[in-house]
Amino acid sequence: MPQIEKSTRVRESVSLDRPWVTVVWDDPVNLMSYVAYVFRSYFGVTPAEAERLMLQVHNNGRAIVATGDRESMERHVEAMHGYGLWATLDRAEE
Amino acid sequence: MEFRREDSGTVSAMFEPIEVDLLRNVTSQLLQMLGSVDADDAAMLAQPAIRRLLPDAYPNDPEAADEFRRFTADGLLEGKLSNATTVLAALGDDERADASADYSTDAPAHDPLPVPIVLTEPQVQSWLRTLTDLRLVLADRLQIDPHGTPQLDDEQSHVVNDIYNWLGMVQESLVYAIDA
Repeated sequence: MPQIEKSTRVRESVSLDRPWVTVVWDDPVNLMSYVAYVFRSYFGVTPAEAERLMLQVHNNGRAIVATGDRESMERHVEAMHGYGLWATLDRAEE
Repeated sequence: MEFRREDSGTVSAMFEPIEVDLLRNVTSQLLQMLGSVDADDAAMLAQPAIRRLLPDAYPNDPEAADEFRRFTADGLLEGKLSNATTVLAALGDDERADASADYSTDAPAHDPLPVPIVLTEPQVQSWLRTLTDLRLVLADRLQIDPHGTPQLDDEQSHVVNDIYNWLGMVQESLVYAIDA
């Protein structure tokens, strides 16, 4: 069953790699309504989830808004910079 | 000035001519600033306002941050330039004020008519981003602290602060209008 073996190998190689995260940081400039809008329109999350993430940024100073491979997180960070949000990427904490 | 969603899907607002002039003025300055940025010039990229427009993607890894900026700065700057150009275009020509003066029987010089601003969905996207870029640059000029309070308190800064707050109102109005 070569197909099963193949998919198992893929899963192993993914799990070996600690994922990356996209972090959005609080800044005194961006409006709460705009930040929630960006989360909704770019990440396609529900209004409630966008509001939750926005408040997390506002209250905790930062929020993890996406998790995945490095390339995808770089794409998200670049998009956030396009919106004028202060975003970074980092290794996910173990 | 309050944006409303129209049945056609556009959003629109009536701007006072002085508001149009103001937005045209600051957006032109932003365009000039963005146009002068050389993404290969490390010293220029280190300027706080530019740094805020193109932040470090890797806070703990300067080398990776530089590399990321090398790959993304040109595209991000291009997008910001294009957005600001779109905003300017929607504001109409600078000559509009002179042109309206030609039929001054309808619009006396001391009481200029409000200007309708009508934006399509792609234009709204450009406006939202340019309003953000403008506020980021002005916040740097006002030395706004992490709590949102300007550290500069001279007369000139009060004017800039009024503009900064007004741009925030325009942006919030736009966000509410497209959500409606």
